[in-house]
Amino acid sequence: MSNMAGTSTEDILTVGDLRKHFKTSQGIVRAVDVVSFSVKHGETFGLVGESGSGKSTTAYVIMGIYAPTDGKIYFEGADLSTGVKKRPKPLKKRIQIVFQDPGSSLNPKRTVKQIVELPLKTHDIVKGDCEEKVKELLDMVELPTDFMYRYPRELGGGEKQMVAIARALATNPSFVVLDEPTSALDVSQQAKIINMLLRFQKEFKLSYLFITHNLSLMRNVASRVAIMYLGKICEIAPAAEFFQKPLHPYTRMLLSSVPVITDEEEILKPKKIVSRGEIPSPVNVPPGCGFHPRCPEGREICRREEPAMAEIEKGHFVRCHLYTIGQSTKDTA
Amino acid sequence: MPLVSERRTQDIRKGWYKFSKSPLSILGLAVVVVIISVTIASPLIAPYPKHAEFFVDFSNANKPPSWKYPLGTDIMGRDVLTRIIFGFRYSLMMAVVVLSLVTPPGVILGLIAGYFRGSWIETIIMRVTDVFIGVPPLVLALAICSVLTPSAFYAMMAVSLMWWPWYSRLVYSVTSSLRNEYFVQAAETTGASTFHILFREIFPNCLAPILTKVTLDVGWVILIGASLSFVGLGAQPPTPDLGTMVSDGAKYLPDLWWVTLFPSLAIVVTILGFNLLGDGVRDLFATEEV
Amino acid sequence: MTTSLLEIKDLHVWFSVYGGTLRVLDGVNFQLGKSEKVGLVGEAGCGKTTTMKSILRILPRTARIPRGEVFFGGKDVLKMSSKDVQRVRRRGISMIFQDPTAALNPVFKIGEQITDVIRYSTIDPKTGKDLPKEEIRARAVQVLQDVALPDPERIMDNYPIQLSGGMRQRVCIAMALVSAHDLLIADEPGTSLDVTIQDQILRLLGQLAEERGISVILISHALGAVRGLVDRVYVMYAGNIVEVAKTQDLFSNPLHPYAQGLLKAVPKLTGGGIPESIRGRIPSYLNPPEGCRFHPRCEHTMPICEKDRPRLLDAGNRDVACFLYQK
Repeated sequence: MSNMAGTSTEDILTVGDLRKHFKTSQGIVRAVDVVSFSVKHGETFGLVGESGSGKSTTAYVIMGIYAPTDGKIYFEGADLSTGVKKRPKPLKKRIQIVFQDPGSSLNPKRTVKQIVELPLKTHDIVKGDCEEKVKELLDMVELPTDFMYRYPRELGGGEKQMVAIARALATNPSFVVLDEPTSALDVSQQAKIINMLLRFQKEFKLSYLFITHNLSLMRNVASRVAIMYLGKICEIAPAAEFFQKPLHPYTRMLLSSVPVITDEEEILKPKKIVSRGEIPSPVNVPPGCGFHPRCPEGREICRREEPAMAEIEKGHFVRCHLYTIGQSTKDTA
Repeated sequence: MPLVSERRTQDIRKGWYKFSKSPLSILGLAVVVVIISVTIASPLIAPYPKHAEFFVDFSNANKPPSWKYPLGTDIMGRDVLTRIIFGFRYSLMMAVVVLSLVTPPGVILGLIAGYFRGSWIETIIMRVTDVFIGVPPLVLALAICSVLTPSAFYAMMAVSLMWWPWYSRLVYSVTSSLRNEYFVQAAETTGASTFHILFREIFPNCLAPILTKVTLDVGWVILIGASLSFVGLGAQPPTPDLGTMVSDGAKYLPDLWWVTLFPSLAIVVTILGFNLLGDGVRDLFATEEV
Repeated sequence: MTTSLLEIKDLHVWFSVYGGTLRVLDGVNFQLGKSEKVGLVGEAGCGKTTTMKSILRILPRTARIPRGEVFFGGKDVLKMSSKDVQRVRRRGISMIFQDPTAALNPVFKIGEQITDVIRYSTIDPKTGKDLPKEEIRARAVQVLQDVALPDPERIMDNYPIQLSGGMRQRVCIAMALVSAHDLLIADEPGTSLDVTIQDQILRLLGQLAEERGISVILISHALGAVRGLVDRVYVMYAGNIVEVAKTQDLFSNPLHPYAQGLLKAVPKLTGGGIPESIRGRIPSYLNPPEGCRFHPRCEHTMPICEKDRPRLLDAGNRDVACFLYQK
């Protein structure tokens, strides 16, 4: 279970046995179903998965947009396991989020200045007119300062996202959740923003929770990667190992479908698994291991029993019967 | 800030460019401008201003349209054209009063109900709204006006009472669709107050539909007002009112056709003008970028 | 080439907006042969979709075409009568749009939508009129099977909302297959879907195109998606084609500075970080730069780049529009 969720001082964020369930007319959606991980100070922790995996929901629970159904969240030592309205205000300064769609994360009826100064005003960081501080922030993200009086519709996608980043960094947070920050952008806009984010991380000693479905991007951004499927984490490993020695069949399936542009990358990709089927509806999670209907290695036990997370190599955790069959006799007691 | 006012002029010019592409919208705007000008300048342009008050001249009564009385005279000898010009005053005033009374509470209730979706606050507000919407508007207005002594004031109050729920419903639907947008959640996670979120983040996004609805509603309020006057529950004689004029003249159809026809046409043209303008306003806000 | 299926010559497309004219397409040249698969890559706003819409003549009313020709099967589409264009749309070319959810009408069943397409696009050769109902339905079920949809009979009675994103995209492909006898244009297919589904969809497209000998134009801003499917790639920037090469040639050795920048900016699965992106942003179409439209962002600008526009010329094994390669 949560053998890596002890609150040590080197972890800025610890998530333990987190659950988030939604009641819908079709049944209970187990969007996040027992998720545990920690993010160390100054690292970029990557969360990868397809739609319906629960990665964005996990981020939203951490931010407090949803209150957890169960489980704990510890941030800088404090217990943060509630919705945002119940959290202490000073803590809201320290943890910020950049959303996926720059088009809707900026209020179309407010100017850039009004958007960026909101956190400054909310936390009384600047008394009086915030113009100077806003200029400073826009400079930092390399936007011309006269963008202050523009509306989001006058900006391009990349520029909007830079405004969102300026807004997130306005309160000098220590932890930023980046939910698919470049998914809606072109390759060259993406490169600019990612490089900027990495620079800020070094300069301001930030820790990131980086969420994306783009595996090639993740490879170049994260120091550790976790992959999610139907609300559960399947595998966690340091980045290089995750991509060079993927263990979980789902990880291998995902990696084998990544569109790449060089021959070296082709060679790196696992060849064996060709993707099959689609992710089932989260209302109807298959029994046993949720991945078994699509898994080419499925065994009898996969249909019956859910696998437990196990540490196969140092720092490399997998939740799969293929690697724990030898140990299962110990667990079932 | 010089930059800001430059942007405003730019936006207005862009808006006009877009608006002027539709000839019908221009027509609507023209009609509305004419009606408003006529209303403001009525004492100056009406040929017989005195006919708008208590006035009797049986020697000139029931005269068909002529050079002296362009739209004819009614049974009291009053010039129809003058009375129509002054009649616009009452109609427009009703529209302005009703819509000003109705918008603030409707908007506030809609914002609150939409934001607190799923809670008891929303349930109470929206069910009350539903009750008022459920009553047929004219019936409610008639009921109120017939209990109290008929007057222009009570007519306006009655119409306001059954008009506000439409605004709360409109704002409720916009608010609840924006409730889960990322920019609202960004404001929440930063810790902005509920007041800020409702009035500084969500409300500006409601302005366009509200403005469109107000423009379109002018015509309908005027119609309801005229309907009330038609049955005698609005402005009382001798105040010139388009609805009253239609009902007074109706008894004498088809002989004194001008007494009924011209006020009716005035009502139709007014409603048409505001509707066309409202359509143009709605199209203007429809897409942000060309 | 007389065997070319589609040939676009010097196409210019302008849009009239507040403040002037957006000169989006600035002389686009494009060739496609029978049974050929070609990719069109470029960033958002470079004019890829505008080019494709010109082929089918479905541009918005504010657009006008001051110059250029689009030859399909030897005839200029831009000069055709609306009846002839209609025939091209029904029986020659079809397009798969980016968002499958938006492309399907939510209030009609899948079966109704497919049978509509079949009815418009096929005529019974014997009677010269519409095919009989049973025949149409049979064809609909068949084409749903061809796109690897499980249980086609049941899907005929489903509404789009009941299907997943991947299934909706397959339905759109099926509808396009029905009326695409010669050319299929796929505009960012699978972009809004998961990468495993996107992979399946692209492989499906490639396979169907091979089987039926249909030409394919694959539009994408994701270079990796294109690489697996097409034989030749057109790279577009700000309304101009800047490089045309065989897939292998382009990816191993891009010549145009923009193509080089693009390929460098793509994150690699093997790691290595992401180099700095191309500086600047795409130009405004209201006042595009003089000369080469890429020169303000190019590291190798020469004086001539600011004055003249480079033409797409042969540079050995490919065409490039850049003065670096033209002496």
